[in-house]
Amino acid sequence: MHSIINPPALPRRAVLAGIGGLMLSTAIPTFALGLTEGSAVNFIQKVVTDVHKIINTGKPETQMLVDFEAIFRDYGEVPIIAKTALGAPGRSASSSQLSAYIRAFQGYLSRKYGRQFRKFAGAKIVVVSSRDAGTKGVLVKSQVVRPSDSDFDLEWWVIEVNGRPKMFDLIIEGISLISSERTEISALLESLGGDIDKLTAKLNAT
Amino acid sequence: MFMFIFRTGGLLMLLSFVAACASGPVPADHIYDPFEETNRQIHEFNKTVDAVALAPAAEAYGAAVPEDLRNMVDNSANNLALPGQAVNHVLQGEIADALQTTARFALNSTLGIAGLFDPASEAGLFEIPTNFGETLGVYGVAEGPYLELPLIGGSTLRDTVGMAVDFAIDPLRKNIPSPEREYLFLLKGLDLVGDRLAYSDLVNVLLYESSDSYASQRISYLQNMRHNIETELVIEDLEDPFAFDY
Repeated sequence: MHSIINPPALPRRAVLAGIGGLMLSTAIPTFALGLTEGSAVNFIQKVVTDVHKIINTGKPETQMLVDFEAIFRDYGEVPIIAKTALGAPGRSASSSQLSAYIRAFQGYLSRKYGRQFRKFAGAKIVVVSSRDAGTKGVLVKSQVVRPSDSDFDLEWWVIEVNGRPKMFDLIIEGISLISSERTEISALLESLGGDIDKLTAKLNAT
Repeated sequence: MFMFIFRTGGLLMLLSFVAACASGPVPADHIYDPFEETNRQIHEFNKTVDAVALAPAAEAYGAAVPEDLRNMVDNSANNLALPGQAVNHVLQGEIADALQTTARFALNSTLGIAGLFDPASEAGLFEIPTNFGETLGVYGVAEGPYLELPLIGGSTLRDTVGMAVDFAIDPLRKNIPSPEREYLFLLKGLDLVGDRLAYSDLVNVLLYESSDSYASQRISYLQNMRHNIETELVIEDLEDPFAFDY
């Protein structure tokens, strides 16, 4: 089902509601909000507000990378994203190997995608619709509107973790970040003879 | 006249042939690559061509030709692709896209001085790229095996057939006399070099910074192409996000 959201009607109240919801869930961690299309959209509005701040303040790239990593860490479900990219080989890893890998993955991904951010100065992300994917979460569709270039589609896959909305995947013009990273990580792991510790070292150095 | 019958007749036969092997949409993650070994060899060849010819040519082009002039090359090459794109939008039943493409062509060909400038984009009439491969996809023709084509890159059987049809039915090419037609090839070649320059960051990341550039290019190509046809992810096809929450 599509719930078409009228962008001009959204801003203030939706963002405030999103912040309110987040504060509530911080205060009572066990309180399950239950992911709805509305709460997922509010959540993405909040992410988008933060992204706009990063790309439109003209900060130096090093600072942008730090800010981007914070967004990825706070809003993204980094452990699940990292483990999904790693896939089955991660099942046999020890918990300390896994947590080192997840930390390395967070930095690697932030650097890789954060570098692309400076190209989006002046761009605006507008949420256009959402779809309920049941137990798989909610898909929030947005358009990236650039001043002197054509718009492109950016879809956010939001899941619920411990009663709170989290980003799982980003789909840019159909290209899934998770699919791309799974391709990359599995090729990397194969080239390193399947050694997860070497993979972690390599990600830290990339 | 006979040419016309031949062309349309051939097109209909082709359509009924490919429609015979039609199937529904495929999941975004699906990869059908029975010719992977050959494809990978062609990929290595393409990478070599890029490294020794295309990338250096792009750099030289960027250094020798001022940006305004490069933009003009880019604009006019893109402008010449619009009539073919408009035809495909019509065939796909995307009337709004066809109108936008037609308006863009009209504006840039006149006010934009034969396509050298791009006033249409300033008016919000951006390009909506499409091709006959996508038209076949809209009609339910299966995409077939993934192919990497020499000097062209990622494709599928359906998109390769589509490219040949696009070339055959291009309304512009057919109405341009011989010497000028050859200049257009030159223009397209120059535009390719210009695109390599404009997207150098992206191309370099994909070709030279990924651990398996063949696989990276393949998944990007397939997912983007499917998005252009379906535009909507199928919820049933989405993987379980908690499958690897070990």
